[in-house]
Amino acid sequence: MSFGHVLTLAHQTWRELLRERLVSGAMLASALLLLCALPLGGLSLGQDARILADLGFACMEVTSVLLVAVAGAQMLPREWERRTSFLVLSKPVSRTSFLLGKALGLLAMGTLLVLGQSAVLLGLLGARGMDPLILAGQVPLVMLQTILVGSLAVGFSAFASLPVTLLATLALYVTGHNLDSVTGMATQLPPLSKAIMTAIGHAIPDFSLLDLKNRVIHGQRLTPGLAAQAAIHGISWSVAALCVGILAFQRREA
Amino acid sequence: MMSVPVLEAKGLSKTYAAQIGQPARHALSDLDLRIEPGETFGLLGPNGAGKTTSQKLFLGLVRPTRGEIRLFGESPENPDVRNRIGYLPENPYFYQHLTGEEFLRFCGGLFKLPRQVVDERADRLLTQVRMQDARKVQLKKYSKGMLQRVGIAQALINDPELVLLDEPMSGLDPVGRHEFRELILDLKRQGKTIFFNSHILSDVSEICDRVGILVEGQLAAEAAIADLSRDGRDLETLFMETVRNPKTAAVAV
Repeated sequence: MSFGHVLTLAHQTWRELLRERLVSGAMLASALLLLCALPLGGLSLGQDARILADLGFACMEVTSVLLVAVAGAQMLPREWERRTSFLVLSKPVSRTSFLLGKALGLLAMGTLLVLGQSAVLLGLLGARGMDPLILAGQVPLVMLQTILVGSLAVGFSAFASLPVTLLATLALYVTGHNLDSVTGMATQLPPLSKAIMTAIGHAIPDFSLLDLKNRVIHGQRLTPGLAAQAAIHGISWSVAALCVGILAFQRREA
Repeated sequence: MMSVPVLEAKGLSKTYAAQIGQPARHALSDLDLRIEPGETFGLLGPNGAGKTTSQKLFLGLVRPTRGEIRLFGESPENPDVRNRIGYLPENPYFYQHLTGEEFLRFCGGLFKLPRQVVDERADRLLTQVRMQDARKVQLKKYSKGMLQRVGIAQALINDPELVLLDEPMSGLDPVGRHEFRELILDLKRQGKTIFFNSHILSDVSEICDRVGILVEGQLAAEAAIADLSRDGRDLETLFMETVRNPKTAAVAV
């Protein structure tokens, strides 16, 4: 693997995403959702800032996650379909560098989208009297969610088709947010089904660890322990997803 | 002492596995080939004969079912060996969002060439393929011929010792073909080793030192152009005879 190749490919992917409608569409969707959230806050009694924060973080998460899921799912299949992968892999570029470069460009774009949206949201909430420093604790967690979803999408796309990748990625994201329900359901099942459900629970990233917006919205700071737990969980699952993708991509033929 | 061949294939075979609704396909069977430094070799054959598969095997884009490939004495799986190769794929489809200039810089970056060297070569190559005026235009606005021109420029950005060209003349008008032929002849004069697939026999006989004819995945004939001329035969006759009767054609005329 070559770091130089990874950076060159990441730059190309970044530029490709920037020049596509997908990113500008995600930004527009995010701005529209936030605009819609503004009047909704006024409907509640004295809770307008909290409702805005809740909706703001939710729309930030949805747009960023959808962007990286869709762009990540189509990234490698499109390279094969358009045969641009022939061009890159005919040069002294390893398949590991190719996949990591594409993933890095995508994740950098997802992260930028989160940062841009956070700046606007925290500015709005600060103006409504909430402490932006406490709220900012959720921003790296949304970034971790975006990175994890992007890594899952790229990992799956190394061996699955676009629809399968997108479905699997979003299914893991939704289930991962509701792992408590899955494990809770398991306790009421017969032993074998319980064991299967528990095993499934362990094979899915726990996205609820990366979603502490209720905590920060209610003024509770993110403790170093929670932040470390979230970071370790998010990063290790992302690395695992990319490793699976790299292994599958080594075997793929043009 | 014999020199190390630039490209050597021994018993090279490729079978694409069966897929739903499609049986297994034997794309290439027992190909033996040896290309010496400075040689220009043309691989001919009807559509589906295995020409593109051969080039993909040489570049490590697909793996052989059987047999062995060596490029400069190394395995094509070794990324370093590809520093010495330039490749133009058939019907090139490049990153459409890039301009011609950005595309060449991107390709130069993949060879880890210093920025100054890439800029100088990109400038020279774009002039050479007459794409200087379109250098700031995105590739999605290029015609097929323009893509072919910028494709050959990217194949030469690393100043390769071996140039692999897959149907380089397709999509070019007569003027473009003439210029392309001149460009390949110029590369030949520079001592580059050139391996190309083509359908256009007149170009092949003008450019190549040696040709091979693939029929249904098998190398049915191999001949030196000079020997053909000496024997009073032309390439078209050899090609047609070989395609019609591949089993009786001469291997190494």
